[in-house]
Amino acid sequence: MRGASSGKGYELSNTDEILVDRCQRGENKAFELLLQKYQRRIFHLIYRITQDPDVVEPLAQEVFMKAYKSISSFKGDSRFYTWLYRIAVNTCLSHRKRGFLEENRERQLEANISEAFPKISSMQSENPEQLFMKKEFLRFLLNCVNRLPEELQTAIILREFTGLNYEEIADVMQVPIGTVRSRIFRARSRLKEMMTPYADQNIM
Amino acid sequence: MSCSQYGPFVSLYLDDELEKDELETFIDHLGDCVICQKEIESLERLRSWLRTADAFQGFPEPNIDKAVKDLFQEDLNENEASGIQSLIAQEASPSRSRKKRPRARRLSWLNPFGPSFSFPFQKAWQVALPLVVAVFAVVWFYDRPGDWVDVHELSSAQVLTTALPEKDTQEEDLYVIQHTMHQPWVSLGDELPRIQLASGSSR
Repeated sequence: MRGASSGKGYELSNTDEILVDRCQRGENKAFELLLQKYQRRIFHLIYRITQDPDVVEPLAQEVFMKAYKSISSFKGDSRFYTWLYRIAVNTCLSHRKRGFLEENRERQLEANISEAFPKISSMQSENPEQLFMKKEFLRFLLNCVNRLPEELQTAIILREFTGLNYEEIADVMQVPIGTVRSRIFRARSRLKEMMTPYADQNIM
Repeated sequence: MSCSQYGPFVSLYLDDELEKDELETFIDHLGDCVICQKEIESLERLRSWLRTADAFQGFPEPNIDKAVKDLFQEDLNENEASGIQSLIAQEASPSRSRKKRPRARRLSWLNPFGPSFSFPFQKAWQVALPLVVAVFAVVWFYDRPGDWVDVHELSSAQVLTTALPEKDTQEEDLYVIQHTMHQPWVSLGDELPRIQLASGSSR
């Protein structure tokens, strides 16, 4: 069976559209299914932006609550996931403005890489020096991403970590596509400049 | 160092975001420009390391059951809170808010089908019902089952005896019940002439 009738004059053709339509008719179970589908992606996005595992769950809860309350006003003029990501990005940026400290992010970044390091060593048989170099490099790279200006950081995270295309990023950030092109280009240029210490080594 | 002419195109090329005519032009340019070729390689490496860092850092694992429970519990709490607040607001301003209350609600308890159900002559029913119940209660109280006598089983007058538990007399009080075809039903306890008879005899 292709699509389903929505009563809106056109057929719904994908899972999100059908689930959103059911949510708008009052089916809580449909929203539960949307939550199940996007929860991990939202956790991932929030973590990339905030770099703080302690705030991921409460912020994600806030994101889904906002989405649940405003689902009736979703007109379908964008994809559901870009609408949801927009809520997530704005929620993270608001959280940041509420007094997020740079020092905490630095410390958390170090802790995160330390926790991740065992995964690297178990997957690759390299000597300790090489592994150490890789660990330092990864830490430094993520630090650089988080030191980018907010608009450049959001654009590059949405592109590299979330996999959205330019049109979708424009929808999430509510800017023209030309602005997205510019921001991603500048973000990459800035990252390369920051990674200059590793330029002469066989990494970059 | 990036190509002065096509520098920004490299980033778009990497993301498959070039328009068709732009792509054709850029591919032609790549054939001659070593700088753009090296730039593509550099950005490919950057992307690879970003994704490696992303994969190895991971992210906290969500708990779907908890998220659902928290989401709908929080929504329920907010609805209850707003309901309580509106109730408090109504109590705080009695005159205006109570006047706005629909009249039907005051008598909603009289609606046997529930407050949201309406039917013809609902108001008349809601007024008549208590009256009917009251009359029935009065009649029931004075006319206990078993004390009625079918008029057709009696002759013109017949004396019935009954013991009244509240009376403490040696003689039984007798009540004469006169039934005629034309008299309405009466019950024991009505004020009727009393006839004292010898015990055991009745007429």
